[in-house]
Amino acid sequence: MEFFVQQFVNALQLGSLYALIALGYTMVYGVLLLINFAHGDIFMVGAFLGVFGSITLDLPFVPTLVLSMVLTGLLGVGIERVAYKPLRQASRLSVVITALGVGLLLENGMLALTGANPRSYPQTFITTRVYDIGGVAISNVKIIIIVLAALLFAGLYTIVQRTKWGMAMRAISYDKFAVPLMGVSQDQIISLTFLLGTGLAAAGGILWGVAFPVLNPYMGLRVGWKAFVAAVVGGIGDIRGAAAGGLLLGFIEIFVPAYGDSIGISSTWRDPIAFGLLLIILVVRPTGLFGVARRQKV
Amino acid sequence: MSTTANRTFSLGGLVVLVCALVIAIAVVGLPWLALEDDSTVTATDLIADTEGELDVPARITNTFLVVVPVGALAAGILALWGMLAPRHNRAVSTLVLLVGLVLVGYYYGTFFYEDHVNDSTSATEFVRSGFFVALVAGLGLIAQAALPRANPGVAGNPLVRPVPVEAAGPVALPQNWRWPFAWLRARLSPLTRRIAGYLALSRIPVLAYLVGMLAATELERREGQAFSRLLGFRRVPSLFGSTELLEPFSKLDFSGILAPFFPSPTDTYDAPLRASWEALRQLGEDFVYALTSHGAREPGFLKVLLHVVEYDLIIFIIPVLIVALLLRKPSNALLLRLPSWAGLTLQIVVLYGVVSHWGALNDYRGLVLIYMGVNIMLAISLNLVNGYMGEFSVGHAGFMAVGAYVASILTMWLFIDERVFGDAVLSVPDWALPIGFLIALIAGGVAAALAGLLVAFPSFRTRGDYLAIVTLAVNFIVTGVLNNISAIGGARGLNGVPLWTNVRWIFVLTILSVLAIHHLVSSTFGKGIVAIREDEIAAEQMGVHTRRVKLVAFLVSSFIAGMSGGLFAHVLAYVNPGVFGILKSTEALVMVYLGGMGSISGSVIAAVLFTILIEAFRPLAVLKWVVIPLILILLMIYRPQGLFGFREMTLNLKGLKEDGPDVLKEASDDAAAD
Amino acid sequence: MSKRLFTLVLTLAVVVAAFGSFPVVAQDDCDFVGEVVVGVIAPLTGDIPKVGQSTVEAANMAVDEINAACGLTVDDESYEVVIAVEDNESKAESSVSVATRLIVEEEVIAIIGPQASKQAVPTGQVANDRETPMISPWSTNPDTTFDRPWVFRAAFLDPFQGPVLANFVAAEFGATSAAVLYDVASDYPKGLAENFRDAAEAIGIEIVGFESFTLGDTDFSSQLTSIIAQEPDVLFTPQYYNEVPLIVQQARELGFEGPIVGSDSWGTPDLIDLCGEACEGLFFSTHYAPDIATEVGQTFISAYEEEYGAKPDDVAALTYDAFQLLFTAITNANSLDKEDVREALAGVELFEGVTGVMSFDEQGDPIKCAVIIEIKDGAFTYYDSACPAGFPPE
Repeated sequence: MEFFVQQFVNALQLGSLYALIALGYTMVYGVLLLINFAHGDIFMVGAFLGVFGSITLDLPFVPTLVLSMVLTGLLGVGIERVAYKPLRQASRLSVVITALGVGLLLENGMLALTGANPRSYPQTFITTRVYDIGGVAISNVKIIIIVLAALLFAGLYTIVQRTKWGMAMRAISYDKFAVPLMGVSQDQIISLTFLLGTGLAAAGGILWGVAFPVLNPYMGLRVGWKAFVAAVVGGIGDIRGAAAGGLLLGFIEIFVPAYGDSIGISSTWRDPIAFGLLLIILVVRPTGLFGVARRQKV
Repeated sequence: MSTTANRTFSLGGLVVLVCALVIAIAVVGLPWLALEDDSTVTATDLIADTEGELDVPARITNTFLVVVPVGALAAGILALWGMLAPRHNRAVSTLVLLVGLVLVGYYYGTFFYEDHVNDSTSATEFVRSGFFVALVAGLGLIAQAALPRANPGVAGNPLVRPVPVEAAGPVALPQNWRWPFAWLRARLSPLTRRIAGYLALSRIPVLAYLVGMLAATELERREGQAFSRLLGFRRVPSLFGSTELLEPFSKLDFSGILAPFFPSPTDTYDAPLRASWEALRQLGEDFVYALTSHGAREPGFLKVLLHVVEYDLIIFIIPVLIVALLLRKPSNALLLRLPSWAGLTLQIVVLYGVVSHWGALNDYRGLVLIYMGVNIMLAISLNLVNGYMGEFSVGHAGFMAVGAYVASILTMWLFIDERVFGDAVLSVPDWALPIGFLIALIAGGVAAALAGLLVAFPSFRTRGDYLAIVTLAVNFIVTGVLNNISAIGGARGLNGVPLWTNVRWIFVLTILSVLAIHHLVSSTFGKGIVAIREDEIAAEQMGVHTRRVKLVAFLVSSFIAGMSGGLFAHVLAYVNPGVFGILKSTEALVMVYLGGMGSISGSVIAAVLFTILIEAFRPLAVLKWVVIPLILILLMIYRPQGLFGFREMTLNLKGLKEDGPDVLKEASDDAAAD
Repeated sequence: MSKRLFTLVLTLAVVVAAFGSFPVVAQDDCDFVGEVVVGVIAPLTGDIPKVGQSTVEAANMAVDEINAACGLTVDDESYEVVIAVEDNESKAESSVSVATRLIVEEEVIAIIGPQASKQAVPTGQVANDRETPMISPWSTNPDTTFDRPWVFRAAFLDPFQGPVLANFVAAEFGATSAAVLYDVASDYPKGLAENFRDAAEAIGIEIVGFESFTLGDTDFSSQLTSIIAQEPDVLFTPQYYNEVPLIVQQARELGFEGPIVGSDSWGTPDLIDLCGEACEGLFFSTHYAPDIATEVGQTFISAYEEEYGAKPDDVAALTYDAFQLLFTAITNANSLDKEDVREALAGVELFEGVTGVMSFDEQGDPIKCAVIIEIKDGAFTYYDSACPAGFPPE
């Protein structure tokens, strides 16, 4: 039982992180129908800006988090303006490839400009404390991550569902030709989307860096792909889906190795099994958990 | 017509001016050589010094190596251009031609006196080759001059569209932030259109170009060594000098610029801004040095660039153009007489000649050719799914992995003795091994096609980005499973795969794949594939059996990817699951979209370019993967459809009639389409 | 138009003319009669850029040193050593292609690298086929050198290190049970994990957990929770220095209190900075101990620190040794012929390098001692050493 609870907490932490990153994917997708493959690398930039805030500027946790979210958000808006906006009329896939290029540019640019030494946050950033609750070890980092991820998700959900801006975002995603005619500025809404999405990626990056304090320019590569998987499995374009997909992925990744042994599957088979499960989910539900089939028009 | 008059003046005047300038600079003004005592000699001194009295060092400075050849080339090109001027200006073109010839001759002739080429045999050979080049160039030029040419000034000649005066008018002020490109295009497009119109380069059949390339590779085989040493290369530049080009930048270190702001636990910076500025300043210094350095040991970029351009022009571009121009008429005529299959076969045979001849220079070239072939197969097979069928497969390397592993296991297990599977199961005579290899490759392809079913079946219901995840998952599953099978090495990889892939194998299979895909997509069945891309529901309504079409497309695509994997394994002599990760899939995607969706020629060209770029940018080390995505992004912004999106390169494969209204119309349409 | 072109041509001519006025670069005092080109293949980009950086730094240092001492002397004439560095992007195919390029185009006398086995195994084939000596400083896969007379390495092999560690945990902690956590998708950790398991089982240590993850993972909580549930006496994790801090911290957070033991891939000073307090008191085996290093070692360490402002890691030390091995071989051979160099390399006896004394066996693998390091007071401290039977001969 303790074993299960412990693994459950582990999964909750990993899943929350995946969910945070998947949220950004799914928001951008919802508005632009763009798979922003650079998202994982924006996440990396966010984590690195955390190093900038915490070491170079010597700021505590919360200001660093805010600073990184703001700067990364601006970076996201900038990327959209420079790289994606000229392509708004072009085929969807050329934007996707551009995004792929932006991602490669960010990670390798970071490597070229900062060198290959791995980074980490200072010990004083968040001092780890471990609480033993009935045989289950829960650290304050885990709690912070899970709570903060939930808060950010709730905040985002409120913005999207309850505010005018959110309504405009949903409207643009519903019909991007008619809505601008109603006086909604498409550019502003898209910028806002990028600001929010990449800001969340930065938050994810810093929390990731707190939980796993070895940062390198390629850290966003795999995480980005996994968050993409999570967003799609949840039903891309739907923020509840992203949260669910992220948690689902986290749970699969934790529980397959945890219980695989008892049914004779070594933990070495985690990846094939995890992705096999996702494949099955997509075959059974072709538009993901929360996805609604879009009208077929090409 | 005012346009014509204006242009003839500029051409003639320009040509004379440039030639005069080049000759003046070359002969009179410049210190050619720096001697060891820092005194300098001019060209006239050097030419007078037939007895070798001057103490000329072995390494001569690049002035000599640069000005004269560039001048000669400039004159040669301008001569070509000058000849294109209307009839009344022919005197000028003849003059220029002569000057060009004299300069080319002078260039090679002077080196006769130079102790640059050490042993006497290669010196003689070199001089012979110099005159050979000059002779070929001269003959080509004369022949071209003698040909009747189109005159745009003459009314009623539809071959060339008259260029409007505005196009060559004063420079328009930059209108938007794309202005450098717009400016360049505005300058270049009338020029290129004019040149293309006059020379009708697009009317030269591919066959003639191929023969030209064959001649150029032969020229390189004979004279490349001597010529490249003359230019200061240590050896023949393998990939048209592209790998040498960026070498000067290999020592640039960018890492200090941002590192102070993102300190790792090991480093401490008291003043990040100053440290960063210092790094930036150092970088600037290094950059200027890398750009302009000029020693023989670490030549700067500009120097290398000049030499590379020179090498490529003299060894490749000019001979190819000359031969192609000369052979235009006969090869057009020949192709028109031959049945189309024979013409195609002939061109493939000549292409093989070019490829094998070019690749025979050294093993490195051969290896690059093999990578090119693998990449072409990978790109066109992915293009079938992503470009023609409009799906978004992001896990193509997975199929490659299946093919690579199955083919390797078969060849190792059946045909050779090694450590993993023990002795060969079949004792096959040596002559039959190629057949065995082919069977193994096909088996690998079939296995990959079976893996393709993993994607094909979900694709019946799952579409778009969801299917993208399915392909991604298949890639992860394949590598994950391979990591877990310790009988074939697991993560350690499978070592001892025979080195059987060579240029011949890769050529034949690449051509076959290209033909197969071309055939498939231009068949009625292939129209069904395209119909699915355009609108799946409508396609279904129109009677396209979408499931079958999808199944076949995925099977063919993964089959070819599997074959390419098999070939790839047999050139690495080693396979490892890590080789076929998501990065490899990304590369395939980049090639497809670089070349353009739904275009075979685009994919082929993109694969070739990509392979060369990868090699050429290698000296940049860390920066390489900064520059490549930058290029990709810029290309996507300025040309979102890729190089050849949804269209094929128009190639004259079947020959064109030299005269006749239909041809002329086509040519002017071409010009208009530009 | 013509005016503009004219200006362009004139500018070009002036630029070109400006080139001519530079004097020929002066030679330095050493009177080199030629160059010896050594190829270096390093993973400057890709999974392990830090390894690439250390490789290049060590290579530059080795070459600068030898050139300051007037290069290599062959037949009483000095040759300047030049390195041609190539990036293999941590990809096997790139490694094969750059090795071919180095051999065919740069005409190198030998290749140092590649570091990771994933690239070293196929590259070794190239070097062997084209008869060019190659020394992989860091590769531990037996296949790299097996049956390849032209290929050598500077690191010891998994089948040696595994038992050393197994014996160490048995003797030091009296361990009767152990767990292993390793990366299934990487060559080195997987090989060493299996060797350790076999060696441990052979001496009666029960392996209660043999858990894996995949390259690039950062969350090991699931595997660690499973391991902790089995209550092993000791946890062995042959991972790279950038994963070890995560594993150690997560294991401690999840309540594992036993010792954690590692292998030579831990041996990067960054480990201490990244890991902080958590790694205090842990043990790992490696090639050399900085604090009791020989004179060669001390000189290297201080020179490296002065040059690059950081302590050398195991990659740097092994790469430096690989260069010294090559230089020794060339000097011994007194020849720049590749075959002679290969023979001299194979015949190297009791070479004294930064990472200790070594000789090559018939496969081109080094016979050398391992040391056990304890992380104490934020530094790598010598604890013990273990040598192959009968080595070094008294």
